[in-house]
Amino acid sequence: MAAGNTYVAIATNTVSGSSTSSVSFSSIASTYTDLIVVFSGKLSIASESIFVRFNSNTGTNYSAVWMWGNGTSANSNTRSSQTFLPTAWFTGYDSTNENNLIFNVQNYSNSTANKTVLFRQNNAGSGGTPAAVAGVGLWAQTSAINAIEFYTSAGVYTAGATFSLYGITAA
Amino acid sequence: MPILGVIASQKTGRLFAPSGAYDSIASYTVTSTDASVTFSSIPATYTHLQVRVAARAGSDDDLRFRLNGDTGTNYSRHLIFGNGSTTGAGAGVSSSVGSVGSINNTANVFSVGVLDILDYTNTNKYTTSRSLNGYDANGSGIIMLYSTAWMNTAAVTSITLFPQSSSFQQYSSIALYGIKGV
Repeated sequence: MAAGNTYVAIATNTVSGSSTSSVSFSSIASTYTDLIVVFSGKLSIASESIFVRFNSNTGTNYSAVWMWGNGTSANSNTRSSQTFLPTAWFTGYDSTNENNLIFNVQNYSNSTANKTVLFRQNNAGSGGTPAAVAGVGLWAQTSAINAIEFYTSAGVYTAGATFSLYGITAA
Repeated sequence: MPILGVIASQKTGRLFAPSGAYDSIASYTVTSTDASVTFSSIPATYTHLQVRVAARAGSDDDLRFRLNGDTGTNYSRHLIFGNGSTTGAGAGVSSSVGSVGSINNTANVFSVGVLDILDYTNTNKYTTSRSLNGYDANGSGIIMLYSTAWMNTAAVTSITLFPQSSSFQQYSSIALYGIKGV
């Protein structure tokens, strides 16, 4: 089987209107090895965060550790036994300038191990908390991932924000 | 110690056939334990390489790599990390290994990493890589960003990954991709 081009665009969600606080990808095929979600956009409230859930699971199965620099200092934070996976903790996202989030879910369709994700987030704004963030998170479930939800801890995504889902297939 | 290349890929019935901007070259999943995994005979037809890892080790360990089997003290590295309470930075010079980051032993928790090896066929300069890696074990964990310089101008034709003091555990998976330029 020829591997061919293995970085495939699966879907893109573009936010319209002013009331969207949650964006989901569902019915994700299990035919890839890794998933990558790329977010670009602003939140309506400064110093906000984006939280993630898999397969609509609301149990206390999520945890994460991350580090960030804000121009004056480097810091690290962690949360365990959460009902969502934080990509920052009520900080790090800006309402004035664009934010980027690159969210890697590796081996998402295996059913033998918990799922570990890598993420990077950044903005260069001055209206919120300018930051460069890198983190790792755990979903302590062995189920294959078939749905991912990105929701704001408060506020909404501003119109024009985009979430793009990609699949990578190993040979 | 699996050594994977075109032949190994053919044995699995998955033939290497570059056709896009981001191609899968080879991958390997550990069935029991392996001290190391090597991708050999890497074609020179790409601009960059990316290694994507999801792995456990026999003990909490460092995940290392070597290029072209070079065991000389030709590697240097810098890192920043956060463990949930503190951040830190470090460096190593004249080392015999490059670094992906950290690999853990917690049952059912896999470390993940993305290692980018840029301009790997350029023989006019040393080869520099970047790795974002980490794990989270619900109360402990670490996130690490590494840069490694391989002070050798040879084109990279093989990559060996290994836990520094232990071995890869079952279900660890490592995949090599090639990224094209225009």
